[in-house]
Amino acid sequence: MLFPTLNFLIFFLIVLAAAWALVGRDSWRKFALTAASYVFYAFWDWRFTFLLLANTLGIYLVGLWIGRAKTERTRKIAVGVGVALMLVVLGFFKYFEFFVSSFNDLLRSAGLEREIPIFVVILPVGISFFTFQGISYVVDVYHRIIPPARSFLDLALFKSFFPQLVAGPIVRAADFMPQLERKPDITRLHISLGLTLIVWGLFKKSIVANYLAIDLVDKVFFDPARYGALDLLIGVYGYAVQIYCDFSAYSDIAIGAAMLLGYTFPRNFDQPYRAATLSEFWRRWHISLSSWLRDYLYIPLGGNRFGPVRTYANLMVTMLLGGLWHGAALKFVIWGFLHGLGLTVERLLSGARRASSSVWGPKPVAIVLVFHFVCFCWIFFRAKDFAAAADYIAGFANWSTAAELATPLTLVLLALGLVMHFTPRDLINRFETLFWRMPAMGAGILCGGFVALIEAFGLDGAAPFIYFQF
Amino acid sequence: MARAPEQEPEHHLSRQMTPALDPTTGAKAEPLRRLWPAAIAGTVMLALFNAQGLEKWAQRLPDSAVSNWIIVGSFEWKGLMEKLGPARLFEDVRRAFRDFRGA
Repeated sequence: MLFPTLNFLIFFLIVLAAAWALVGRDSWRKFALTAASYVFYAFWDWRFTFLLLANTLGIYLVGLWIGRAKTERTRKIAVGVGVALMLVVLGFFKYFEFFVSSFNDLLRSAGLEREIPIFVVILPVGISFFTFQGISYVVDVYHRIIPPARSFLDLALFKSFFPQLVAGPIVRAADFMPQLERKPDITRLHISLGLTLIVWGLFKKSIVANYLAIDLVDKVFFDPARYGALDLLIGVYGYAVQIYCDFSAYSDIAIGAAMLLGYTFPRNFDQPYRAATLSEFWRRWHISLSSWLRDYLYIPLGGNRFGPVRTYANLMVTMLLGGLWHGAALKFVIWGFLHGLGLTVERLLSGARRASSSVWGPKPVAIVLVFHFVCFCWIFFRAKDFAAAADYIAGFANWSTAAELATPLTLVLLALGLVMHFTPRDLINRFETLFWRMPAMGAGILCGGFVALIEAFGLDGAAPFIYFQF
Repeated sequence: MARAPEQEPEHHLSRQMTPALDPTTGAKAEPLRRLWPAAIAGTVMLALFNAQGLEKWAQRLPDSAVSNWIIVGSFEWKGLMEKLGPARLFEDVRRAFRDFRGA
C-alpha cells in the first residue's frame, strides 16, 4: 500500500478515527495501531508478517534476558545473541544470493566445478529498516539507555508502526517508547505541521521525483551510450534531485502521519545539498541511518579514539557497510567506498581544524564541489551495475551530441529541487503557520485543494518509492 | 550503570543529528474538534475535484456486491461532477500541465 494512493487515504482515515476514538483506553489503542500496522504490512506480502512478529518476539526475549542478567558477561552474551540473530535473518534474505554467487564465482575461478545451489529469496520489504531498529533496541537496553520493554504490545507497536515500517526513518526505541507511556495529545500545531508535511511530501514525490524519473533519469540511465555529456550531466543532477525528493517525501509523509496520530519522529533530511563538507552532508542526508551507523558501528569500532589511521579505517568500514546495507551489489559497495574515501580525505586535509569549517575552499565553492562529488557517487548508486556506471562516466567525454532531454519541465523541476535546499530552513514552519491560523474547515479545504492539484498534475498510477527496494 | 558518554565532540552528535521535529512541545492540547472538520473538508475537496480518480480506484476493486455498488456510485458521482464543473476543471488543469510537459 503506497502512501500517495486512495487505498492508503482510506486506510489512514479509518486508523486515525480508531486511534483517536480509543484515547484513554491505552491498551486498546496500542492494539488497534499494531493490528493496523500488520494489516499495512500484509498488503505487501502477508507471509512476512510472521517474520516481523518473530523478529519482535526475538528482541523482546533478548531484552528481558539482558535486563535479568546478573553478570556483565551474560549481558554481553545476550546482546551478542540478539544482534547476531537479527543479522543472520537480514543476511539470509538480503545477501544469500550475493554471497553464494560470489562464492561460486570464486570456485569457478579456482578451477573447481562444484557449485552451491542458489535459490531465489524474496526480499521482505523494509527488512533493512526494522532489523536496524531491532539492533538499536537491544544495544540500547544493553547500554541501559532504555529499560527492557515490559509490554510486548509496546515493543510490537514500536517495531511495526506503519508510517515508518517499510522505509524509515529508523526510529529508535529511546525516541519512541517513552511516547507510548504517556497519553497521546494533539495540538493545533500537530495538525497543521502534520498536514503540511503530508502535502509537501506528496508534492515532492508525485510531481518532482516522478516526472524527473520518467522524463529524464530512467531514460539516461537505461542507455547512457545513446546520450551526450550534457544529457548525462543533466541526468545525474536529475537523479540527485529525484532521490532526495523521493526519499525525503516518504520521510515527510511518515512524520506527518505519525504526528496526526499523536507521535513524533525525528527529522530525517535537512537540506543535504547545501552541505559544504562531506561530513556535513552525512549530518543532513538520511539522518536516522547516518546517526545509526555512527552510534552502532563507527563508535563501537573505536571512532576517532585510537589515532588517525584507526579513524580512517573505521570510517571506511562504516561507509562500506553503509553501502552494503543498501543492497547486495558491487555498485553499492563502491558507492560506500567512495564516500568513505571522501570522508577520509576530508579528515586528512582538515587536520586540526574542526570538521565544520570546509577544507574545500570558500563556502559557495565547497558546496558546489561536495554536491558534484555526491552526484558522481550517485552514478554508481543508480546505474544497473558497475559496468553500466563505467559506461555512464565514459559518456562524459562526448560533448559533440546536443542535449535531447532538457525539456522546460525537467529544467523547472531540477531548478526547484535544488532551490529548495537554499530556502530558509524553517520554510515548512511558515506554511504550517498558514494552516495554523486558519479555521479547521479552511485548513482542510486548502489541504484537499493542494492534494487535488497534485493529483491533476501527477502521473497516472503510483510509482513505488526508491527506498522500498532496500 | 549507564554507558559513559563518548569523549570527543563528534560522538555527541546522535541527539543533535536527530533533532526533535516537534515544535509543538508544550503547546496546549485541543480536543479533536479541529482534526475532524479538516479531515472531512479535505476528503470532500478530493471527492469533488478528483471524481475520475475515485472512479478508477473503484474499478480496480475485487468483484463483489459491495464493490459493484461502489463502482456504480463512483460512476454516477463522476457524471455529476462533470455536469457541475469540478471534474471539468480538474481535466483542464491536467491538460494544461501535460501541454507544458510536452513543450
